[in-house]
Amino acid sequence: MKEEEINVFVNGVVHYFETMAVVPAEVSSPYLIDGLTGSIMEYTGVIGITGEYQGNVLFTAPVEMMAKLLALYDNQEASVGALLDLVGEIANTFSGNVREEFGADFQISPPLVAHGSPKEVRTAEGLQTYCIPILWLGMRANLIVALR
Amino acid sequence: MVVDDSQVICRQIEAVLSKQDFDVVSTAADGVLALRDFRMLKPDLVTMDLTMPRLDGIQTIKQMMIIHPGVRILVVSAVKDKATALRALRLGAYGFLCKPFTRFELAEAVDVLISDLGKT
Repeated sequence: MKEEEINVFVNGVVHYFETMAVVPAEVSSPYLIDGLTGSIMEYTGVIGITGEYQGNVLFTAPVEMMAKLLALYDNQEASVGALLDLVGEIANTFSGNVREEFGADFQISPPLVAHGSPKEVRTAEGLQTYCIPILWLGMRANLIVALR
Repeated sequence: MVVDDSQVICRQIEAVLSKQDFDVVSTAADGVLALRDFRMLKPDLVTMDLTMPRLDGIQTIKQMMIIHPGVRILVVSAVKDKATALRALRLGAYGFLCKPFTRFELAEAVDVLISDLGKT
């Protein structure tokens, strides 16, 4: 992926927090990772990408951040189910928003969600994988982009 | 009627619509469930997600416009490209609101639909 393409995802993250939260998020410089070990947190949403681009987009966050984000949606009860639902929705939002730049052939699947950083969370093999660190209210989440 | 595969989003939209004195007659997590309820209830207004399992929002809009052409559909989706927005509008959707959205943006988008409804 080119730097400009990764920046499209960074802009999407900034826009999300500007829209939803009073306190904006700080997005650190994206970096390449080799595998997902150490990058996956307690709640993860995975989007499959097909069409002109192929691969995955993952949003992964700790329970504390997910609970704070859920509170932005009309103070709904922070059950495991609601947090899983929301982590999938956020992954979907970050993936869908980039179609403004990448076009309609950036096809996104409904989200798959996981709780507790299971080994089953993975990206398609052989892809350059970028980790975009997101810092918000002293907590960290990752947006992971693995695309061909 | 609220159609979205996220329960969190359904509840958020439902809360905003309730504050605007709408009765939300159904929430549905995919197009198949939405069409089942839509045939029975014939709602005046539908908020419609696009990326959903089983039957996506574009196909669902197409079917809804055949069943009840007078329905007002507001697409509420993270999918942000112009081609998809135009496709939804050509099929009969009345508005397009991108996620993420604030409750004020949603309320405003619904107001526009309703004011338009009053003029016809």
